[in-house]
Amino acid sequence: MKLNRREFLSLSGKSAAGAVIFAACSIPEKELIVQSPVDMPEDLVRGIDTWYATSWNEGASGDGILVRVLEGRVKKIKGNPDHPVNRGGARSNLDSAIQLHYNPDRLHDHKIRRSKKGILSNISKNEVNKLISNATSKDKKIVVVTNPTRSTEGWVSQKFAESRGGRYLTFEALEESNLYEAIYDIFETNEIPHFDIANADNVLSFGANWIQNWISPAGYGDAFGKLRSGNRGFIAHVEPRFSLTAANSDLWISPTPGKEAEIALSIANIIIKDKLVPDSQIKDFLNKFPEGKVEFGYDPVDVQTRTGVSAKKINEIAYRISKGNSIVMAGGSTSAYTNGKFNTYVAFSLNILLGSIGKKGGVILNPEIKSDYIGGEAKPNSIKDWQEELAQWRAGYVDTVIIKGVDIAYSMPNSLDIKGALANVENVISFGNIMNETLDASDIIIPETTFFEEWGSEIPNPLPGYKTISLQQPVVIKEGPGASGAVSYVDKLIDLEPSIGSSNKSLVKKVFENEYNNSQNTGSVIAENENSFMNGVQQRGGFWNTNEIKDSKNIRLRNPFEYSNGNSFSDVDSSYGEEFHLIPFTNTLMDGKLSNSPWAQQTADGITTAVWQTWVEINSNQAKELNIKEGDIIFLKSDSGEIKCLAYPHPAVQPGTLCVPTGQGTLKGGRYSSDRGSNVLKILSGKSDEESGAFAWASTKVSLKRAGGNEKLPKFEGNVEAFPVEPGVPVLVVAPGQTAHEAEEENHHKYQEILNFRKHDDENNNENPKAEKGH
Amino acid sequence: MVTEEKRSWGMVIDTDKCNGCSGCVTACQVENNIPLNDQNKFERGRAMSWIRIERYWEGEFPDVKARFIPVLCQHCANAPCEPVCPVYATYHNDEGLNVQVYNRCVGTRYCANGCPYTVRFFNYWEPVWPEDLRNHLNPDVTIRSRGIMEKCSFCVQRIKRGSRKAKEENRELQDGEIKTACQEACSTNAIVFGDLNNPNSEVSKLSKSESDRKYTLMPQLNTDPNVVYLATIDPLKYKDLGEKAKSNDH
Amino acid sequence: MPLVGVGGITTLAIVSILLAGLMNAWLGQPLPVLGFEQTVDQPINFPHTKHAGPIEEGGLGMDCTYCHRTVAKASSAHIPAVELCASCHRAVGSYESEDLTQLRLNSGIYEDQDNNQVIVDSEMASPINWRRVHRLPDHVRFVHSAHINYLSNNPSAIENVPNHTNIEGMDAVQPSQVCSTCHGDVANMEKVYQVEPLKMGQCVNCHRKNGGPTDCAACHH
Repeated sequence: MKLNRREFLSLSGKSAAGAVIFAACSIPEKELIVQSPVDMPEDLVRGIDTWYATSWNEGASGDGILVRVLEGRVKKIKGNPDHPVNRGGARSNLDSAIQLHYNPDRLHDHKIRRSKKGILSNISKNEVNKLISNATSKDKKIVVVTNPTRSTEGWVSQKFAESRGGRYLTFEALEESNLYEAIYDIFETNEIPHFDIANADNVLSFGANWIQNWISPAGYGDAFGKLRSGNRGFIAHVEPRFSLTAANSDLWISPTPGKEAEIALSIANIIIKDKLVPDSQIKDFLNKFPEGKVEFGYDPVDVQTRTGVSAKKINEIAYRISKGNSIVMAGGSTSAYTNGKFNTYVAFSLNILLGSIGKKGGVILNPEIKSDYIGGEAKPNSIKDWQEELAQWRAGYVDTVIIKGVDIAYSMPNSLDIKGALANVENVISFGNIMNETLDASDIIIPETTFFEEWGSEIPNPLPGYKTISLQQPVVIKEGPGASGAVSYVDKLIDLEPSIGSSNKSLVKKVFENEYNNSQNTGSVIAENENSFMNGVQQRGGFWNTNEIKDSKNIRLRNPFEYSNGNSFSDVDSSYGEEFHLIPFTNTLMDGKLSNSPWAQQTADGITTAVWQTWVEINSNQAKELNIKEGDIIFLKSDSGEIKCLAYPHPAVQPGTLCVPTGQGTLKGGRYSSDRGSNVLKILSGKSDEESGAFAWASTKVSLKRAGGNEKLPKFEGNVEAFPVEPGVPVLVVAPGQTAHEAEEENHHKYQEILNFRKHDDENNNENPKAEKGH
Repeated sequence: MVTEEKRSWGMVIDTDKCNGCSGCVTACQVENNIPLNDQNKFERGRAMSWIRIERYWEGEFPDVKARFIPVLCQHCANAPCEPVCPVYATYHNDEGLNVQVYNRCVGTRYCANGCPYTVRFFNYWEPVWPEDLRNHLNPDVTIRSRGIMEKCSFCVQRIKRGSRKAKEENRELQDGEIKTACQEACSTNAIVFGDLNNPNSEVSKLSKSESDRKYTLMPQLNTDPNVVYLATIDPLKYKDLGEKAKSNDH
Repeated sequence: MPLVGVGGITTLAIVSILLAGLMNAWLGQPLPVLGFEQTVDQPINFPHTKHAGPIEEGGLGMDCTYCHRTVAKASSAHIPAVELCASCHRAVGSYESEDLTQLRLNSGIYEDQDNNQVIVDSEMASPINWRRVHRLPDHVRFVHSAHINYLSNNPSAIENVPNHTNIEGMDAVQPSQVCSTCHGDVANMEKVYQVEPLKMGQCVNCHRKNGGPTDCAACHH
């Protein structure tokens, strides 16, 4: 159609006008609103927020937190600055717990499986209560399983198990029961001592990833900040794997796995030979060692050959930690070999050599707290205990098992065959929030309250040097959004056995009533009567008393070489296909607890920035030799199973080791945890420490096989491969006393050549130093 | 006729204290209703996080180091993102903040083009919040829909709340009263936020006392950022303790 | 010239409608949307005149903040819970009025079969689903408390002062004297309707006049 200019203009004018009229005419009054598509309840009364002090027993062992509640919903968590354990610090994954409370896959109904091979179906509360009462009646043999906890929950679990003549066991994935054993053997106490890192001058840690997630990371994080301020402290870390603690240490030592004790004794050797500490301390230390063993058996040059660690580094550490207040701590993978107890024990004994026990800035022993209504132990049952226990289950000697707070079907290694054991127990009753492998293997599922809806008390682990009891209190109602149908674990057990108490709330109150009666107006809350005291406790989030400390310095050092398995973990100790040493580690997902929280899943791992999948860290050079690129699909096979991971080569992996994170790979979970990754906990070796029976999860060997495919590993750093950059350039690094400006200048000179920005001209430099300054 | 004295919000981040735990990252996500980053987003390189921990490797095994630095919107006084917005959706307010006005943004993404720190993020997709997860959304922060730029706002909602509270109670704003979410979450106190115009605030004091270690990111670009970093100290910077000492080959 | 043909009439129609729209816009009259000059029917016809109306005119002269309690403390003025109404109306008020019967039902008070007894049953109580009258455009965070605080300390900026209140020459006034600026004379409204357009232009004008923040981030964040 031929259009001349005039017609074109009039047409376009009309169509524009048409558009305007069309819009202006039919104005539906209420619909002219452009509403936010996420349908925020903007018409609701915008309330004023309230903050409650509470704590998260299961996930954050007694850390004090403040929870923001707005219109009856939990919005945010932050650390409680008042609380002596974490002093306002928060774990990185703390907020993720909110998404476990409001998870779209949260269970609201009781479920039952009427026969072992049947499927799970919903059941009404009344019906299931009858079945539960039958299953837990006085004549049944009962076992109660929870996570390690020292709280009213632990006490109630214990009492309930006792009332039926049964047993109460605890399980922790990647357990550190050797740590508790070693501490008991030296300090004669079950309490992990308080490491006064904030006031220390040097911290030497063996395997304990204290900066990231060992025992009390929020408290240690706060201490780390203080250590780095003012009089800056020195941190050294000994661990085969490059953990976050290793990344933040000033000196990282990567010995052959299992040889940490050699490093410790070599450090002792140097200190003793060069007399770096007073004679009395040397004497105390050497008293129990076989004559000459340390002085002649652990020369740094020999140790360098045996462990692969440079003697210069061992020297550096020895010289540094003998000056000022030093702390030596051990845990994590160090205590999880077949000679784990020996390693841990030797490392802790260095504190005696350095004379740091009971001193400020040193290792401060914690008082043992007894409370009538708090029970349980921080130390989990060892794998030996569990092997014996599960044998009983398999033989059919147990009628009912009650499981809460721990996903044993997911976390136990294949060697224990937990699913087979569960199949032989007549009634498996589990408490849980979101479907997981244990719930899937159970006969009755009870939807549980989260810590936002529940009372509790907890003795933090470790204590801050004096008596502390944290309070957990409900901040939202049980029938609120996300929770309807939830049942309190403690209230349920009390229901089944009323002689234990009247309710969870009353038990928690009794705990603090005892404190009120015993404290005699000292401590963090001073009140005239019990009710005001409880109010005060609720406001502060717990009760602590700096006067209740431990005085004694009961140290009984015995000859560590009496441990028969000293140094027994070696290359000879191999299992199936012994090419690589497998090092499992926990990060934001913990032991799988947070795998249903998208916030936790999407938090980039500190070292690799990888998310949402299971990866295996392998040394860059070794990967090149083996022709492995990032994202290659790798199969790792141990003597008890095989998993599939995506390769992630980076410079900091010890050649010969492979590091795999835990948390993914659940066979049954919510939408955010299903069908992703692999569960490395399953293929860990069934070995245990011969001395103590603890789980030797760090003693697993695997063979590596390339599957030939490549998947993109989801990580925050995008397509960037992990390669080393010019030191000190992207993140400016200064030496003590150097200014940032000087460091920048230095970088300019050093790296201009390499980066070819400008030709390095010596003459020009000398004549015109200022010429370099222009950016 | 503005009667309150001018504040200038700024931040000091001590990279020596930052341990790379990503607590700030999660706290920021929670506070600001940032859309969930599922695996798909990471694979496409579109994961959104207003504050991120950048990790750089140095050296080869066993003398390898990792350095962490949290990077967020620098709230540059001379911001390259501000003058280029065709609808004036981003501007510098008189308290020193680089403000992003969500309802004005039309999504040209010209601002993100100019930002040298890559701290601006665009909502390529509509945020999806399953019914139950909506319960934890923070009502103080607008939820951005598809097509809108967003970035760190120095928790402007907290600044407004705190300022208002102080004004209602007829008193001065105390230092430390307004804490950004990242500052609150940082257990090592590596992040310090406050009023640079207040000589007694912790940020001002830190800037003075630690001025030896002070530096800003990419100073050659002349963006004049309000976020100051303190350099990491390495006591072994000039000491060479390494030799590739591995004698056992695995 | 022949009179306009068919095509001409269409063009004329379109142009005249367009002109009408333009005139409308030019005269600056905000379109009656978003509640402006509209009124809605509430589930219970709560008469402000009886409660807050001036005593001279037969009302009770109640203070605005007796019911809208959080106006000086929070962002929203807050419609009170039914319990507040029931605190008086469990005893006061006729039994014939439909509205009051409905109110009592909402408060969990009802009459039994004999029509004599009044029984309280809190299980039956439910909130009243009030319908929104005043509506601001989207993406605005309006905070009542900031405005109440400013206006009660600077009464010269208060507008729409109703005839029955006298705030001449005062240095500071009660929060309830301030409401009329945006809400008009609610005390004399049988049915509440929105008197001001409450668009951004109006807000910015008042802010400019009185030295309030004109920073975008003040309201849009």
